[in-house]
Amino acid sequence: MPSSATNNDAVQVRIFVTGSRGLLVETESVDTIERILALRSTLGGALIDYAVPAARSVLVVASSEELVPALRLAIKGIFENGAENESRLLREPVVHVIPTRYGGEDLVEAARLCGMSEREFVRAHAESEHRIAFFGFAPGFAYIDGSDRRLDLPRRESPRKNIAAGIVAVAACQSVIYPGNTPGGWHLIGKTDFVSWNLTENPPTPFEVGDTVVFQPIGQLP
Amino acid sequence: MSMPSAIEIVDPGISSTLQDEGRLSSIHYGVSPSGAIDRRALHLANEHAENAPDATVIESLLGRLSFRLQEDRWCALAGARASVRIDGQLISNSTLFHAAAGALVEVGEATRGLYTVLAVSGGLGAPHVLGSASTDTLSGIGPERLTAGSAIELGDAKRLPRVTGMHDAASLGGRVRSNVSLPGDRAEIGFHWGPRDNLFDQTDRDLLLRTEWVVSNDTNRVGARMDGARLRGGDGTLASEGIVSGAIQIPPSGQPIIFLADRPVTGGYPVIGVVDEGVLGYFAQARPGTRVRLREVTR
Repeated sequence: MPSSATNNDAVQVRIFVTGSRGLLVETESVDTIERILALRSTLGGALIDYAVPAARSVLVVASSEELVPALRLAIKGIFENGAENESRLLREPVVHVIPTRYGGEDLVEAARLCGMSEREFVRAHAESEHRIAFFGFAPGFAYIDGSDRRLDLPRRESPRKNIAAGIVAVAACQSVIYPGNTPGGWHLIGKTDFVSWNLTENPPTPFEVGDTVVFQPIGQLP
Repeated sequence: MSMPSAIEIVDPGISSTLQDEGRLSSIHYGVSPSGAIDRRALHLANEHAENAPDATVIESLLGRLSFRLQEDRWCALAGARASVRIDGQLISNSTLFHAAAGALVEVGEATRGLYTVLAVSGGLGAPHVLGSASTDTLSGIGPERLTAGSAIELGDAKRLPRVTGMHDAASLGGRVRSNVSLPGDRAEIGFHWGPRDNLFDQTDRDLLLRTEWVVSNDTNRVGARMDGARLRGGDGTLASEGIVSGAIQIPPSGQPIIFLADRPVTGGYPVIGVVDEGVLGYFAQARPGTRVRLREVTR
């Protein structure tokens, strides 16, 4: 069940106009972002042209300038009485189990930086309640929130130029499964065969904002 | 079973890519919108070629595209102004012309505007990635840039050419509309303030309005960097947030960048304003060196 702990958002909603059709909505709540994204299917999809979730905001672009007031009302409605709309608006989040061979290039150092043994580090990561927050940085790069609070690692000082698809990495209490062919400054802690980004499919990813991700350790643990 | 006919690229010029309406439907996966940089030209060329408005076209920087068709087709050129030669002979109207199978068609160097758009009747059957045949020059999604020898399948033309052996559209009367408007040495571009104009002080806002900006050489399908002044405010402390095409972003250098078709999906520097959608195609045709005034559009 989605959390309904979003009532305190009501006093914090800030909406900025961008261009003639866009509204940039500030919120740190993935629940709220998820509900705003669900507006894409209202009016048979006629209200919204596209939406871009990000770390602390979601950009929503109306299909036409004339629909901007209606869109603004719909967004405000979510902040004011979102919880009541949940069952109608929300898609059931999917749970994705990611079989992960821990032991990436940076695992030893990452564990040391967190003051943990490798085994403790892996366990903390695998037991974290991970959730897809948004896509950004590069196509298919999904920021996965919820890594154990102890895994608050800064990014590496020198990013790697090209990281292969399926590499699991952490930074700043977030995780990622690299989509392939991107640079990256996160700490590499494992690898999975789970395909999270495939341009020959449409949609190219099984992930949607709000989905749960479970990293399941496989093979020999460190 | 015969092989489908194709268009064969003889010379792609500086840079030619396949484009259509792009991948806006995948933007929330971090995929750039892409698509023709000047949608007016995409739609006009396809209208003249009697294609669907979003049919795949060839977009060429400064023209200079040459090709041969394996089958007689009508061709429509829109966007940047350029002449066309068929087997060396200059034709009188490059907006819509008939090209016979095997003839060498040469689009000249553009004399105004930046990007030509070539549509071929029946459209081009390029493979789609995420619902689009567009080349995304930022992330490399979609087909490669065209090279000499590239061959793209031709779609089924709805009709055979009405007149064979006729090389131009002079006698087609009302069927041909005039080309899209193109900026010359100077351009006035409407924009809307926001979303982050409140991060800039009055001096910076005045600077944006009063500066005669110059489109820099550092300009491509991703965006146009503007020379002329440096805004002081808006140091990049924002969490990355979604941006729209036409966003005027102010990076720490203070030099505005106006984002175009292959723009990133999110940005971490403040966006002080957004070029009005209605003039974005026109702006995208502004060559480096074009002097640009930004004018506020009132809602």
